[in-house]
Amino acid sequence: MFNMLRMDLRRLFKSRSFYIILSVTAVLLVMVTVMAYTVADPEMMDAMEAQGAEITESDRVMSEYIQNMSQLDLMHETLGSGFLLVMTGIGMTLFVNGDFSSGFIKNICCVNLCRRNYVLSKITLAGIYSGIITVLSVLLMLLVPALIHMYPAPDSIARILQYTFWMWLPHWAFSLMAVALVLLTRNTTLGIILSLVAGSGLTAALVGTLGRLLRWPPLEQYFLAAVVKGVYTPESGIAPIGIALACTITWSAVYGIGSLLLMEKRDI
Amino acid sequence: MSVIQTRGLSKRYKDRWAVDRLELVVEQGDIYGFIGQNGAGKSTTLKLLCGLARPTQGEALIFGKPVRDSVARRRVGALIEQPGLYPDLSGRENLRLYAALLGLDNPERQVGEILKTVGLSPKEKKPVRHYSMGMKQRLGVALALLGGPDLLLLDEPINGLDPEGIREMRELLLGLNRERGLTILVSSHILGELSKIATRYGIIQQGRMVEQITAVELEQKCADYLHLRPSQPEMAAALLERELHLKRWEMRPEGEIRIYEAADTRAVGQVLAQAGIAVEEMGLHRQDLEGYFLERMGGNDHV
Repeated sequence: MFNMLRMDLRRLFKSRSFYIILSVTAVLLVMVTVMAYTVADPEMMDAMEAQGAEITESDRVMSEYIQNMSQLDLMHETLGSGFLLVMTGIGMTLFVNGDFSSGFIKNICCVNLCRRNYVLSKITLAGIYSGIITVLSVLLMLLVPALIHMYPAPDSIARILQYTFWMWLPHWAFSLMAVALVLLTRNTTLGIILSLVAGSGLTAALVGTLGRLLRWPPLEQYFLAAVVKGVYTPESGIAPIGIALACTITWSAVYGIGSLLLMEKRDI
Repeated sequence: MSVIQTRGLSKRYKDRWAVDRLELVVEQGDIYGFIGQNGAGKSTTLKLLCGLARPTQGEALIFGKPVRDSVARRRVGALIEQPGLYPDLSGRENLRLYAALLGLDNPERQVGEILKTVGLSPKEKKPVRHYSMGMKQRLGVALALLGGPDLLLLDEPINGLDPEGIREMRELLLGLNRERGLTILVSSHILGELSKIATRYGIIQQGRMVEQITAVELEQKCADYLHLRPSQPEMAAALLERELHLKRWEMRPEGEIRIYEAADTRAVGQVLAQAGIAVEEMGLHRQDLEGYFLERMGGNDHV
């Protein structure tokens, strides 16, 4: 398994798609931050109004809201919208499906007949991939505002680290879903579409609706446990942290076992 | 000990048996030519031997161990269907990744040597998607050779190669077999080329082994022969054997007699005429390997 992970890591850092995903993520984050800065600047609002743009009271409220944001507020407003999930999902889809579309999976499975190793390697890689994207995004959200002279109220390093950790977990779980979908479909296009659909929250909404109809526990909350608006990290206390961890572990286990079954039961 | 031995190996896809109770034996040092029509089950058999597909019934042994045995697996290099290569990476990088997967010591050196062995430049930097078909095939063989296997499974390795490339591939395989003692199982549609290297053949049809034959046996079977179609085949055969002291002859199911030793056509005709046996057809025949395979597969269908 470690040889396979070593190979996967080498390939990750050699592949163009990884750097494209990182670049697109960075560009989008810079654009969103610049737009937030534009909206937050009262002089800019006045200038826009003078140019004939219609500025309503709610725009002014929004502007004030952004001005009063802390670093974590700004970070979570930008990163917690699901776009990072989509980027991670697409990245993992491209990476894993590369094995199938290129046919390299034949070489891998000829050497290593234990398909479990393949899945375990991809689970670990998904953690590393989502970790890199999460850390990069957090760093950019600390750096870019300063570069454009936007200074949200600072938060402590400990809280930012905590936030990074809790953001990373659902992204890891989500990228595992992308892995499972690729192993199911063995198709890049379908994998990307499903990542977009799931990243936009449609899967959570569907599961929630179905759950309410069948009187299940509120499963969709567990999908969203760590990325819901306004909840940066689980509230202090064992129970909320436990729930968030249990959700991540459960979904990871579901996708991991699903991936394993898909690899074990199907021929290459 | 056989390098490969299958016992009743079968693979079923939905309502069709792709491989049906296949009995295949490859001995140490063989270059085994695996022949069959499109869809006969060659690639499926190779996939079963590589562990890429699971048999529905039966088993396959490699070096006397089940296919899933990790030690036996390390002794096998394979190129199944198209070479599996990451198109955005260079050939060298593809090999480097595979070396990491195998956990090889000093991978850079080994990758460089293998590239030279298959005739590719170790300094080539362009991504594989810009490679010609021939270069990709060579790289596929290089992947199969990495790690120093004792058994090579090659599925159509000369597909897409130009005549010069085919010659080089032939020399490479012969060299690997003679110098390193590699056992090679190679499937190919190009029978003329296969006949230049194979020491044993297996003919597969509709998933079943029709015949396994050594190159020497095949050579004998393909020797020139006199064929005749008498009105009373059994009587004619007995007469000819007695009168002309024939030893190497055979009676074909359709009533044709084939005489594989030097026989005087006039004497044969005379003996039969004296016995009152009419001869509908008689002539000398020279059969090549391709003709033999086509005949064994029951007609002139595309091989």
